[in-house]
Amino acid sequence: MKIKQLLLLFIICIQFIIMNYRPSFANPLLGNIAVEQHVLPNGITCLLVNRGYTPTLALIISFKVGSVDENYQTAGAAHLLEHMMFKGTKTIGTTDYEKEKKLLDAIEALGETIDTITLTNPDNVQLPSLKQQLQQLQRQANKYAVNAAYDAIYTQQGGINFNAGTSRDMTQYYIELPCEALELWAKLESERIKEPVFRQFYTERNTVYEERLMRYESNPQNKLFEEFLGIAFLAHPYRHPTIGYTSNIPFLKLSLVRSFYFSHYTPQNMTITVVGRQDTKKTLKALQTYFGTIPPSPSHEFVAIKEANSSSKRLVTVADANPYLLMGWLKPTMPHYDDYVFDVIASILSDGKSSRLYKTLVLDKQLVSSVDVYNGYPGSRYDNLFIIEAVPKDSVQCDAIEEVMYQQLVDLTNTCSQQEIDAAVRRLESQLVFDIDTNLGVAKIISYYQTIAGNWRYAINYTDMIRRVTCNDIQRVIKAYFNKETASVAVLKKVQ
Amino acid sequence: MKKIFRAVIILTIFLFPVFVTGNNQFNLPQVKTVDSNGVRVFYIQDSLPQCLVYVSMGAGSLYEDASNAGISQMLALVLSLGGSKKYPDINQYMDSIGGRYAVNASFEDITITMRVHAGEAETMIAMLTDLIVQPDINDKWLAMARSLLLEQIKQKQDNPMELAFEKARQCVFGNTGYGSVMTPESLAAINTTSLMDYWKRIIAKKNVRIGIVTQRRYDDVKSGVSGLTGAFSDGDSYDYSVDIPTAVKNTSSKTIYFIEKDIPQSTIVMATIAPKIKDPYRYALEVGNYIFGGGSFNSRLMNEIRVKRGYAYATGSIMRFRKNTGLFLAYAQTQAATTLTTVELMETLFHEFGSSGPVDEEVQWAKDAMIKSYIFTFDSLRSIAGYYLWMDYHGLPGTYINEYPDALAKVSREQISHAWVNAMKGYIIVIVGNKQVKEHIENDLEKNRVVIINQ
Repeated sequence: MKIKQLLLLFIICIQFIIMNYRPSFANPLLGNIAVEQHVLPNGITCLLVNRGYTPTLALIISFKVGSVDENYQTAGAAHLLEHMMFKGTKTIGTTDYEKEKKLLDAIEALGETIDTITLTNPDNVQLPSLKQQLQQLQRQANKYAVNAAYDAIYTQQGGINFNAGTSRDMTQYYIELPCEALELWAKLESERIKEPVFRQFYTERNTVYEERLMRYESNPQNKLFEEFLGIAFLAHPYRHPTIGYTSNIPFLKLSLVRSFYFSHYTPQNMTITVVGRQDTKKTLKALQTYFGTIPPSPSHEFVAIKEANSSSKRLVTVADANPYLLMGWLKPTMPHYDDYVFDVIASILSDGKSSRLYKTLVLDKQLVSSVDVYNGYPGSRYDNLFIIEAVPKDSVQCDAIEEVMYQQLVDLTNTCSQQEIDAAVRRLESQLVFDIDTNLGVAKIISYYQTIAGNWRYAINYTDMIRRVTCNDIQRVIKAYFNKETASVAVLKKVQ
Repeated sequence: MKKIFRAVIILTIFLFPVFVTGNNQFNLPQVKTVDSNGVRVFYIQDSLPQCLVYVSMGAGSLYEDASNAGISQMLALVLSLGGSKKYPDINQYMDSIGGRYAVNASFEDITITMRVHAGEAETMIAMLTDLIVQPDINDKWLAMARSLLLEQIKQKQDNPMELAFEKARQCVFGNTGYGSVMTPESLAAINTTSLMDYWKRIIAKKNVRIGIVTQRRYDDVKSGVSGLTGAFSDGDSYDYSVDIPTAVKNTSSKTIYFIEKDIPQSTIVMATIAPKIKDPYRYALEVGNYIFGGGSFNSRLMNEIRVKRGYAYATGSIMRFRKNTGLFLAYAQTQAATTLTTVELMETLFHEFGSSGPVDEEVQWAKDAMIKSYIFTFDSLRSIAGYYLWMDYHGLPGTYINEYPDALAKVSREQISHAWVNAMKGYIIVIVGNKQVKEHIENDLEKNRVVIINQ
């Protein structure tokens, strides 16, 4: 085991020497934004950009772990873990950890017992008294807990947007702070990553359950979207909702969440992005001091499932809600060349009021009140979907809309022009420029590509790649992927 | 044409406001304020190769009542679909060059936003100018906009939070201003003549302000800007009034309005009228609201409802100070079983805040957080331009940039308590929930407090 660890450390050190201190990169499209990339000896990638006029920083810590790394047993664990990471450490969020720890252990043991009994023997007469005991223990533990401790510290420093997000592909922790709080941030964040304490677990699990009720159970369109992904991905974990299921959130075990943390929150999976006014040498030194002590560990396994393009799947849901239509086709993800072609197709179809679908479906035929296209849903680490969503107008049948959609794809094949592609490319390029006018905008872009594609330069090369797309590419891709026989379709019908 | 190209700049002010935050003192980027043909223009030079123009006009739903509810949104949609008579393909052009064109109506303004590559600045400004002079307001776009807005009304029923917020505003303010809600009937009453009249009314020079952020020097775009500002008409600024006595009366009863919807989670919104932006209580209430529910996880609502009890994921409060009125909204979304407990908790917290006020530590925390984070208001040139437009609309001087944090710093615990008690006397509550919640409400609450609304 020791030899293995030494070998790993040696490999990482070599990687450190190779990857560090690359020259800064500037791209004409992105003005004078220069990104410095460094890799710490333990494997953490750091991206630093000195820019802007206000003495502020946007700071993102991202992990290449999301709900795609879960299974049925752990569905929702990545998201619940993200919530738990705000609960503090042995020194933050507590007034006396020694005393609190004993209570937390007792809460965990009793909580798991209650969950097991609730699942296997819900009529067990002991259940109410066990729940009462749990509440009593929670009350005692809460006497030592300092609620929202990080939030209090950061807001007092003037921090904004202190939050986190979990997707299928990644988990991000972000904040914007005045420059002088950099060192404090590095200290606090490195400690919470090194030794988080998962206090108030059952209360937070309930909050997540409420989040699920809000996002899905009270929102028929989101609910349909979730079910749609369930039919589009039969085996691949992209089918799991990031938040978890209504049926499993109330039973998610703390031990599973903790185990998920140990196996996935590793330096190799981690990117730190700091964008704003800074002396990057000082920033790097702070990152080395605080984050460099996180021990290296191996990366988790790749999801070894290749979703098959099976026969057409169709889902119809009836609810007291307005109609909604989703159509999706399985396709390769980045950096496959066809992924760029799909981006151009998406832009031609739905980017702007003169786009083909908006013009035809909303303005001319007036079949829908809105139409949107997404390439690369629900994630980009693995093969994903090209999705068209539409909100049909009153009394318009979804079948009719589907037919028009396919007709539009045929029309695009027949009448695609280089001029139209050029316009789409300009729109995609403009979007990139428009997105980088804030520190957070820059940080989000480079952090995303570093985490998902393993290289922030993907954002730079992206514009060169989409410029290569031709009409032939578009015709070929439409023919190869947009088949009725392999489409996944979900329809929300209003109850009569 | 002569009018368009007549001499422009009467007064030019160069602003380099010194901004102090925490231990930092720095200069904001230069904001050039120009009086061009009687229109205030705020210009900022950018390093990115872009040109962004905001044309903001005083209008919006606060200016509306039951007879014309939705006219601002209708106008915004018609303009965004149709463009101008000379440039009917404005969307096609903007899409082809990778630009952005949007017209949005909010509570107090209609804003046209155009954003293009810096090289396209002249064409874009020419398009904007023509849009002001001869917008393509015709029956075709009117019918299209009406049809899309009718769909929007229907789709709102699928969004409990939006439904509850809208109903809460209406219960406080009646059917005017904040309470005006577009309906199929109000939309049907709008025609091209009324839309054009409305447009003419809001494009008066005194009612308009423009923000420009571009890589191009001001001298490069001066001629185009002059043409644009020359396109606006003479006339007075447009304003709105608020029936404050009625709003105060509406909130005095603390009525609970219930809307039934078959969803597992209830949305609770508590609402009342708040003072206008220049009210002396404003700063104390702003700090107070931060402590009560506006200030992230350490606010009282968040701490008591979410962090301690896990009753809700979304909870908090919003306080908006507008030109002639204000609005306070506190909200929580919780499952049916905990709805009434959460309502009770919200009411208790609201009353406690009035009777006991915040503690000194809370006041210091809120002031530190608000003052130190104020710098982020200026974190992009786009947001600086937006801030100048906002100050100008509210008649706030350029010195307000530094006066605002100073005013917050002076707020005391006593002032917050005093302001809360005096300004927040009553409230109403709206609950969107299912049959189970309805039964609880009917069985457990005083009958004369509850009004069931049939949607």
